[in-house]
Amino acid sequence: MSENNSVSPCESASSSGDPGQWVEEHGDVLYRYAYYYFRDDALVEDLIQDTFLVALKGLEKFKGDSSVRTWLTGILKHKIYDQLRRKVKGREVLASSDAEDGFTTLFDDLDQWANYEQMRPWGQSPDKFFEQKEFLKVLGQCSEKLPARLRQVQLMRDVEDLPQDEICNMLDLSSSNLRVILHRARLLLRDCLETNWRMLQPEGEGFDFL
Amino acid sequence: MISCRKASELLSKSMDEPLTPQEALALQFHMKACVICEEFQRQLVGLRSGLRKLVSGSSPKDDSSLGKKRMPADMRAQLQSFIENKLSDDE
Repeated sequence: MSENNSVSPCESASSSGDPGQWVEEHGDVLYRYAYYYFRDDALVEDLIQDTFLVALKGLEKFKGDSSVRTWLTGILKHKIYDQLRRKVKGREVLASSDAEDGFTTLFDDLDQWANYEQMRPWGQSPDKFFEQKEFLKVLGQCSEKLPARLRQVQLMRDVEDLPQDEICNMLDLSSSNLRVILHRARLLLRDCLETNWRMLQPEGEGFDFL
Repeated sequence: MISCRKASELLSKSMDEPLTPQEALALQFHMKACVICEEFQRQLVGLRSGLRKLVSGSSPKDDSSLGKKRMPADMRAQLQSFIENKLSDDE
């Protein structure tokens, strides 16, 4: 962290939006954002390049009322949404039978959690589990493993907080379709973390079933 | 009594919209008796928080310890020259 008695010329230049610093300062954040949606470096590079193009054209209008990062991320977000809308034109059908197979094992014949005896609470330690480094690392890996459509929809809802009807409009989904997709994404993600993160922790107290 | 499978659907739904009174009641009964679904609800909330942190959280330079993705070096170089070319075009 730098001391703030005098602001160096470099700092003031980047905070007012020196494009020469954008890759250095914001590259990782932009990359990460787009990567989780598409997992395709070539596409991500195009989207970020288009973002910079728009930003460079609009540089004079950018008065610095929001931070540079917020501004660039906002442009990228719209590029991402455009791309998601575009992909729908190919009429991707959710292969429901594929997704179902993953699900029949999560619940037993009585529609209870299939492995409930092996399950343990996630929050054993005083730290919130979702802030732990290891959890976040595995979460990233698990999210990447989701089928693209499930991952993208979940990001739009859980990270971007887009209203459901907006997601439905953008991706041409019915609201019940959307509910099913979100439910599947969340169940799969949870199961992946249970197996690849929680089960690797020291065994904690089981559930108190009484 | 609704099943855990049904309860998990309702819990997921409740993250995005209000439940109907019947759904809310059925879920409430189930949750009183089922510690697993109670935990599942906590996990759902935590997963959402974790995803936000992971995908859009700004953080200090060294993200590799968090397992956070960094822009590949060749992409950095490409994008940097793209910007520099554009800037010099405008001069």
